[in-house]
Amino acid sequence: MRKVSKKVCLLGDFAVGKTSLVRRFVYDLFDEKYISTIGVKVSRKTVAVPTVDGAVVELTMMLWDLAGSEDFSQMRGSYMRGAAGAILVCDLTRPESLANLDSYLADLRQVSPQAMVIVVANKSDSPDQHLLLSQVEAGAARLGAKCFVTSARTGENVEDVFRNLGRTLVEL
Amino acid sequence: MNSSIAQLIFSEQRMAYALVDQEWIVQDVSGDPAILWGESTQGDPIGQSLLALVPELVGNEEAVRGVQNGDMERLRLESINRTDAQGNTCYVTLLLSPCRLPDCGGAGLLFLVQDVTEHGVVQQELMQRHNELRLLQQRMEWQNLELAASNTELRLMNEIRSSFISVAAHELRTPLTSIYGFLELLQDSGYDNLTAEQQEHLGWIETSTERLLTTLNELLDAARIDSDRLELVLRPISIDQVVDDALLELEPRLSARRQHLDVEIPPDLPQALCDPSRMEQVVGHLLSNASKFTPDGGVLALQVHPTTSGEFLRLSVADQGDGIEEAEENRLFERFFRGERVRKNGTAGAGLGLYITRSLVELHGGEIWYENSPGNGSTFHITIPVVEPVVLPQSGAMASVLGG
Repeated sequence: MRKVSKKVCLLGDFAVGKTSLVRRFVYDLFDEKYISTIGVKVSRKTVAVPTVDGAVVELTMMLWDLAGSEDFSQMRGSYMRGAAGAILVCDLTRPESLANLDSYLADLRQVSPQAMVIVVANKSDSPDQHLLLSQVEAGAARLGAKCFVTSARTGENVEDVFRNLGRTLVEL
Repeated sequence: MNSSIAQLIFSEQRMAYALVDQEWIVQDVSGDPAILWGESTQGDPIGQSLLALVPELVGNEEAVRGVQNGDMERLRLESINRTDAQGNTCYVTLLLSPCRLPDCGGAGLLFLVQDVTEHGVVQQELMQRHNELRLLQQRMEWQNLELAASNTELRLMNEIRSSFISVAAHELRTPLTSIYGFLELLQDSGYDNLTAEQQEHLGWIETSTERLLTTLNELLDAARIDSDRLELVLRPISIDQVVDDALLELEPRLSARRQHLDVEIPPDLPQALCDPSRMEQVVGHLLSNASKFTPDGGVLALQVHPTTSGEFLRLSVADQGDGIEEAEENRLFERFFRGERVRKNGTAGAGLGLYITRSLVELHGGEIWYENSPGNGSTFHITIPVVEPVVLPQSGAMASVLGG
């Protein structure tokens, strides 16, 4: 079985749920308490990815969970260097977090112009949503990315996001 | 440098390093392995690939190569989160720079790690508080926007409702006025040709028409008040005249119920500055209410005095009713509010009288309040501005009499 490793960055405003998405995907856990990330945390998960020619590739995803706070914007470039893919995360309860994805993508393109990108609108379980699906779709289309609506709390679509990106990365 | 001194510095600074050859294979290490490799510390690192030991370098191969080739001066990754053996988060800074030491072969690398957990924990706590505050601020901004939007919507709905009431009341009042006019003509021509029963029916029609007109006028006034369209025409007038005009309409009712009204208005009061017809409406409503709640044969009282400041007249109307129920006190001046007792005894009215009265008093710059004595009646007080403030004698006895 072919083995590959790919670096994937999670980008987006603070408290949109980047760490929770990684935690849900890697450990299948969720913590209600918000703990802000400083710097970056690297986690890995290996998944078997079927390819179009019927083979299966063992893909190790190195997940770089980057701090969303502005204080780390200077370091972001060094963290994003070498990324094969990125998950741009926004929060359905905070419309400005979707608008801010443009600047994260621009930063990414500076150091990793070829990186594959997916937009994720998180917190679909929240009753307090202020973003419509159509707005998320339009935002993702503007960035040239597929979009997914997820809930790290319930696990809705979380696996799909990473597997979808994994398949794309393997086929590159 | 003496190696023991170097060891001491490295230990004090919580630093450790590894030297790797041109194939990125670890050749030498110095310092705490937990600092170097974090949770991935397993066995002897010598002879292992640096990439296998440091997951943070996976994906950064190109940059590592760049450092090795001299294309990049160094690769520095700050505030890398790791988990220690106890499961706590720790923070390290990774530095990779070219190394030309003979031990490393031709183009080796120095991999230097510094544990910055102490600084990182403080930074994380600050960031946590900062982010929580920003989240709270964003939520509040959003709630403010939502409140402003619903406020606008409510205002719009209120305007639509007021406008509807106004139009409907106008449309209804025109034919009613006509009916009332023809009734008066019938009265003028005499009821001689009518039977007693027909005369009684006409009496009912007249009473009902009057009531409908009163209700429509109240609805129109309430709509004007709600949309700030009620205007006053202020002029100086004697309060006696206002009270007399209000009593003209009330006297038939007082006679019918054998009620007596005690009026106490001292001479030489300053003139009131008010819209006479609106103030007559206010006084008329207070007297009408007092009559409504006073039993047949009872006594009502109306008093007027200057207030202590001399800038207002205080007009008080007392009844001998049952007083106001405690549960209803806070709602008395609300639009469309009708007390339990009023509803039960079938007293007519839309529940707008006191709302309009309060609004009219306040539009004049005055105040309205009441004293309640459950079982013994209530007294309503209003203040009406005067044209020229009255200069009151300073004697204590007088001041206590005129308090308010």
